[in-house]
Amino acid sequence: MKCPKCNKNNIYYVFTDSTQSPPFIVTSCKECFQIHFGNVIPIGFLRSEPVFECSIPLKIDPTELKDISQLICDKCGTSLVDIKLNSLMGCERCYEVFSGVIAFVKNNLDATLDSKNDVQEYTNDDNIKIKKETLSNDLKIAIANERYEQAAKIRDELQKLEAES
Amino acid sequence: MKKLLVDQILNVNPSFANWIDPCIMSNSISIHRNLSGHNFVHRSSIDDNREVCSKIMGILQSNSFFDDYMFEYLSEINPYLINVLYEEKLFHFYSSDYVNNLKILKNSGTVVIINQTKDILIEINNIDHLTVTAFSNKNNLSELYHTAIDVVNNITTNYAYNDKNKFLTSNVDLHGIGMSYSGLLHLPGIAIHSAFQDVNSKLQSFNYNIAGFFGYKSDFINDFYTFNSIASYLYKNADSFLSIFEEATYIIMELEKYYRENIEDYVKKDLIYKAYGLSKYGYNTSFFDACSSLSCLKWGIDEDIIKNVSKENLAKSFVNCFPAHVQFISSCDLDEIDKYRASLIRKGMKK
Repeated sequence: MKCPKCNKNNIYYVFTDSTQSPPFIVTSCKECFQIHFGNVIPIGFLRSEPVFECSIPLKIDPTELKDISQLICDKCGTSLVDIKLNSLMGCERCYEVFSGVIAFVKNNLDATLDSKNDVQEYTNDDNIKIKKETLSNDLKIAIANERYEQAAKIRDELQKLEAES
Repeated sequence: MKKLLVDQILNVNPSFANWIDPCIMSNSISIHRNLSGHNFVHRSSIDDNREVCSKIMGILQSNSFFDDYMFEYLSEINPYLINVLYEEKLFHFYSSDYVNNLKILKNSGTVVIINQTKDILIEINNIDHLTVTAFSNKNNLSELYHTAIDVVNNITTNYAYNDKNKFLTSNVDLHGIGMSYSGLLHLPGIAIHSAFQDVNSKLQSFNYNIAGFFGYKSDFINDFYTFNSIASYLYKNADSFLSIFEEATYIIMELEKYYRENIEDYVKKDLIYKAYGLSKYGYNTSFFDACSSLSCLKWGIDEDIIKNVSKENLAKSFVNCFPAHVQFISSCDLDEIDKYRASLIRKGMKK
């Protein structure tokens, strides 16, 4: 797997560039790391489950990347983890490399397209999940604004929903 | 194209200042496009982004269609003004991460371009290479879409496109038709009745694809709510997308009308006149209080209860009460913002 910056050497570092907002995962060879990231201490990510963090760049053998190399865009270096983190594609090529991931993102929204109406249809579970999220938000807002009577009502509704589910 | 002047940023959008419908403050349709052959903004180097920027700027400057437009590079704007721009966008925009992103974008050749009437905004290198947003105070999204697409059609270049996924955007949710919708609605009736649960469930039963309602992944201020589209890839074409959101907005407007009619007259007048008093005679007004009282005043003007405050002045006060605006206009310290905000609102309380 070649370094996306120089396209010459093998990848040596895989880490999260926390100097960027939102942070994203960077792959780099030794030389490019010194040039571009010499002054930062990134948090490392290993691209196989379980994902773990460390405070220094994680040194891994490039051969370890072989089995997941297909999940890294060969043009811009975007990985599956990047897309899971922030739903952002890196380039046009990503849409070909991660064609399966687009389906993953769609599934992740817990929605299916109703081909007749061109709109998505929520299942009962989705409805309960959305209601719970909305109610929890409302509860926080009501407490923050010291509307305790309303907060009590929302709390009761939440409890009722939880009991139902 | 001309350089954007500070005064022009601070001028309130005329359509915003003369609202037609009591509920709709602003509707916007954004069209997202990326240039073919370049990495997307967050994945390319500063030099690449600058190259994209100069390419698009070259196209804009060579087309007479954009003669009346005004531009400004983000790197040349002072930090206060960046926050002011963000607040202007708060009325239409969908991301609260915008200010954080600006720190990165500033070095990436990001340009903000607006037209004379401030109802079209073109952004270069903001998440996508090109984002064209059209604003309106009407619930006519087809008209809004045609305004935006007209601008995009005048920028003739090769966009990132493939037959399977259509227009390719940075945000995976927006590929396909490459569009997003955002609306700012004024809903005091629903807020007073705490009826957001009913509204939400009613809209769900219509199978609408809606997020950003009542603080769900959205910015909200008292009675003002942003209402956003997600996952535009679900729609086959622009028409189906537009008709869904047009109808959704219409349903919310009808519900708001119903809830407003169900408020006792004395409750309504009490709220409106108290807000009038606070705005006219207040000397220390927090942002929260300002939004509450200006919301009630707007309601009073819509109901013809308040007659001696003009729509334009109220809209101006509403925009100016935001923290960066107060700080920019009055050059005051952070701890004096509430004092200056009150004085700005007092000045606006006239016909």
